[in-house]
Amino acid sequence: MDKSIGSRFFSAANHTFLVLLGVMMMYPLWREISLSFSSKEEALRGGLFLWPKHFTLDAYRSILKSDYIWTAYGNSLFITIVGTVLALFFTSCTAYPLAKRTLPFKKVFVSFVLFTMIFSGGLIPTYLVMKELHLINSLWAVIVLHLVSAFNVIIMMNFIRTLPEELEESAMMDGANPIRIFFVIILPLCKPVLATLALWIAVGLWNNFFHSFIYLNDKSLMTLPVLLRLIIAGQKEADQLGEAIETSSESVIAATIVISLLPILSVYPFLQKYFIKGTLLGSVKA
Amino acid sequence: MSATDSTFAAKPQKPLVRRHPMLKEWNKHKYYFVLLFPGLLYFLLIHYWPMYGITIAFKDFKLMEGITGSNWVGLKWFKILFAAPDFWTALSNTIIISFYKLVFNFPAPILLALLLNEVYHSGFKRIIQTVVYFPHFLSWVILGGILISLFSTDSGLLKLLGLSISPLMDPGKFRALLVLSELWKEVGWGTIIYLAAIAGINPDLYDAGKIDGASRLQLIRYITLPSIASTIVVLLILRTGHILHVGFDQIFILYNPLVYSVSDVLDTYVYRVGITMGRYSFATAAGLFQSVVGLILLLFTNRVAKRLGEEGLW
Amino acid sequence: MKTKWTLFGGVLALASLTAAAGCGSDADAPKADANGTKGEEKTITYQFMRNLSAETYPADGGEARTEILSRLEKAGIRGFDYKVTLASGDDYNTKLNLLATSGTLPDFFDIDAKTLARFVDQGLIQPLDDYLKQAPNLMKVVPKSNWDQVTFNGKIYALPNGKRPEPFNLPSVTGLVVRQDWLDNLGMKQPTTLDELHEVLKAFVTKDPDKNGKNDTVGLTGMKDSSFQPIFGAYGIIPTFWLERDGQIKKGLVLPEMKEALTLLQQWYKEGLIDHDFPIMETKQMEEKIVNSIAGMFEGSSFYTEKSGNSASLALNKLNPKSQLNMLEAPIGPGGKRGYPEGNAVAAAPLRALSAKAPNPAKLFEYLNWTADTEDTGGSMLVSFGKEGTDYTFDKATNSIDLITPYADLYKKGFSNPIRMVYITDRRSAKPEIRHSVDIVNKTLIINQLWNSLPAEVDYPDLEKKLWREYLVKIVTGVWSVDKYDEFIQKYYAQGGKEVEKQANELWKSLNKK
Repeated sequence: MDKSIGSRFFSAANHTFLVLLGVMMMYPLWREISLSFSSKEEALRGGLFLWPKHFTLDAYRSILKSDYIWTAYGNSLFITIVGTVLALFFTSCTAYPLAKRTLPFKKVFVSFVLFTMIFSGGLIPTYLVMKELHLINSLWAVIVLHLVSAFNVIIMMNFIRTLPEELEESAMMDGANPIRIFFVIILPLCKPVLATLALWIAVGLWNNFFHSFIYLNDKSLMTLPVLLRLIIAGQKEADQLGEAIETSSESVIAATIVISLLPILSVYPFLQKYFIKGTLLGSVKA
Repeated sequence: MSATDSTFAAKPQKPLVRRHPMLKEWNKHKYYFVLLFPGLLYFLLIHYWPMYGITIAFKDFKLMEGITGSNWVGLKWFKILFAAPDFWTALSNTIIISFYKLVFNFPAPILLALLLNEVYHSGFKRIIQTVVYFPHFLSWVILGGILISLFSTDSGLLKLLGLSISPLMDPGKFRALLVLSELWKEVGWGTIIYLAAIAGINPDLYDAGKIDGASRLQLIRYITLPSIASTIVVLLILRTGHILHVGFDQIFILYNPLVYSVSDVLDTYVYRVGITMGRYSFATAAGLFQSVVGLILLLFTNRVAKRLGEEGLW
Repeated sequence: MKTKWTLFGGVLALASLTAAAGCGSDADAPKADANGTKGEEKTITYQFMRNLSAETYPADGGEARTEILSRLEKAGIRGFDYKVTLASGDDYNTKLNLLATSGTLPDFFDIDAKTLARFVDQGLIQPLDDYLKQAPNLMKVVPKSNWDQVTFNGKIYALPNGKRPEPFNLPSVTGLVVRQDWLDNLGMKQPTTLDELHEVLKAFVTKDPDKNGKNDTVGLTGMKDSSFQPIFGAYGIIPTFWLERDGQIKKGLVLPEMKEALTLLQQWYKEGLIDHDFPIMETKQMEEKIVNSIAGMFEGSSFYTEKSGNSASLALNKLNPKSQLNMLEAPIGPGGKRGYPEGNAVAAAPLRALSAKAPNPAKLFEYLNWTADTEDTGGSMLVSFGKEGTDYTFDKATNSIDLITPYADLYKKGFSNPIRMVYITDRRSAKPEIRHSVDIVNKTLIINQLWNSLPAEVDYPDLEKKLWREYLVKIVTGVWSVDKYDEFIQKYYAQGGKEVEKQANELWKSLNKK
């Protein structure tokens, strides 16, 4: 490792900068966590909240007593897990051929995919199509709408293009067909980009409010973002109607945010191991 | 159909020979088409089928009559759109804000990814990497609330920054606030893709570089950056396609009458004048305008990228 | 051929996927149970949809549904059942539009005034006149004037909210709320004129009204949407109201009084009597200032004036038990005028519309009529407050209702707001302080001559939402001089205000002819 003075100075400056940045980035979430454990009066006072004021679990109690919270968690988990797995599968299947430079009509196919990133039919016709497909009031509606996105396909395609072509060619010599090559050689090399896409897709599905709200009607199909939005809006409505209730909306809002973020935030550290530099290519060669 | 069949039947031998190169191409690539097919079908079904809805922009859309049943009105909505003085203000604000965000917020995640990559201590690196992406998960309502408290007139921060008036209320500083607050929210999230790209670099390259006595800066300059260049270029191209969409939630939550003149953008304008009023045709026309501009810019950027020797999108 | 095969296979795979997905979605309405079916009469399950966030409301309607259906039977109404869907927030309209365009509107649903006009225009909903004839209770609880806003071409297209006859149920509840304990600390009495108000605000800012030794108080606070209506009221106008001038109606914001009021507001802002940050504050930030005892005065509803009236007043009281919020009488201006804005009588609850496709609406109205019946056999009390004795008690002497079951639990049982398809304003459960404040507000009101929304307002929504807000805020904060207001009036008329005014006058004249 390079141990010159310049290098050391750079490392020190870099670390300091990153720590400061980390503090800045941590603050909003930390504030929500502190707020969620504060008493309702303190929460309503606002301010910086570097620490919970008048520590209490009231806000969490009022959310967790909801009859529908576990249903909503279950539905959200289902959508996120099944949706992410399927989306990764179909996205990579679509991206791999497009990354093949010799594919006939490649430009046409890429344009065909890309066009959908910029133009869309809009909400109403999409809804009508989903209705034709009998997907209204089904959790699959949300999964289907997030299945393959042009953006993800192109990112994946671009990543595959950067892989050395010799790998594929030598396998081809051995008589393997492209589908086999794709699953056995290419996909394992794509772990970093797959991890990235998994994160994007999972976060998109987990946080998706709008599609759940529009396409799902039954209470048994409620997802977490919809339920939490209902709890928050309910507190505000109660306030306006003069039906004050025993928890303040501010701390409850904070608690709902914390509750909904914890599972998704814990995904990233598990995916991080796929971001470690260079381990992948090395392992393939060995 | 039957006519073509009979022609095939009439000349059984020769065409086969003539179609030979095509067949060869097909045989060579058939497995790729098998992989490609489900995705294409998906796009056709879920994205292209609803596109008949774009006709709403040229119709007087009525819910009862539906999309196909509503009357054609030609370019009526486009004329209304282009005749409104507020539209042009919004368009120029959109372009200016989008340009600032592109110049400052597009390179920022790349820089941060490079800095993170220079951290050797993996525990520290992981923690920072995780923490920086937190703000992405909080909505603009929450972050907006924090910004309003931080930048209220009696907060200490204003004095610390030497400001006499809150940037939220100052047309001269509001756009800078939009750019910086978006940076705060999204920079960490944006690094993920670059970290993935860096992870895909062949470590032999670094070893070779070190043997040649390259400094850290030189390794970044000659190995890391060129290796992730294609990712950067592709993201830049894709980004230009959305140049006229400039962050509705953020602006809608932060703007106020004192800064309308510098911050009312197409998305907020269309929301107020089109969507909340149930004027879908108007909103669709505006959306179509944004898309067409986006497409033109995307094609342009892609061409420029290819001129500069990058592979581009195709 | 191989291509054909893969194509076919792909379609098949996708079709099976969608088919499997479609499976679970048909178990929509609860089937008629033993309660409803009698003889040859078939039970109809009416689909209701409300713009409300009652997260605890049970999917099957809870014990309330059982109770209501059995009470209905006793009242002789058979073959009726209901299912409620709740959706809330800004996206409610989006959902409603999607249901409308896909031909799956619920039978009876919440709707706002602007969407109503559109739905009427497009034939998605049906007139109620014939059914209302059979519903005397509905006609009794809904004040006559409330029908005006839902009448199109002489026909009634929606059910507006009703109200109970007591004065504390009047629609206007908003006025200037003051920290009475601060006034007491300073030895001042409640201001009655603009001049006195000026003195009070000055004292609030400079004389340390909370006696904490710090110069940390604000006079009149506000927020992004504030338009300082009581101040304009002292000049006899409310900017967004239609006011009569020489046999015509005009928006308050184009009248000459505007400039006088703006001059005063600009002066007050300059003196630091109006919260400097009002243009960027939301309700949340305003309430923070109230709860933290920073604000001495604000525009707010009567519910603030009782300690359990809303969460902000509750928190303020807990943190500072000596605090007291009171409703001020509307301040008198230099010309002797005064007034708070009249509340929109129809805004107390969303309007309710009947889908053009609703089956047998007569039966539905039989039910609605029953829920508006305040007699013992009627359903009004049961639907709104649950069962007497277990969920609420009623004290005849003070004419007040005490809720035993809090709202969230009432929803859980299936009662109250989620199923109030006829909304009757009933504040008998409100405390005397609130009733008193409502009285004060209603003493002096400036009346809006026309509440209906106009087609031109849909074409030019930015006139009030943006153009007027920009001039108001920039002039009050002193960015622009008051003279600049002439430019606003010019722009207002040029950018569509002319059309709005013309349509307003036509409609107003046609409504007043009757």
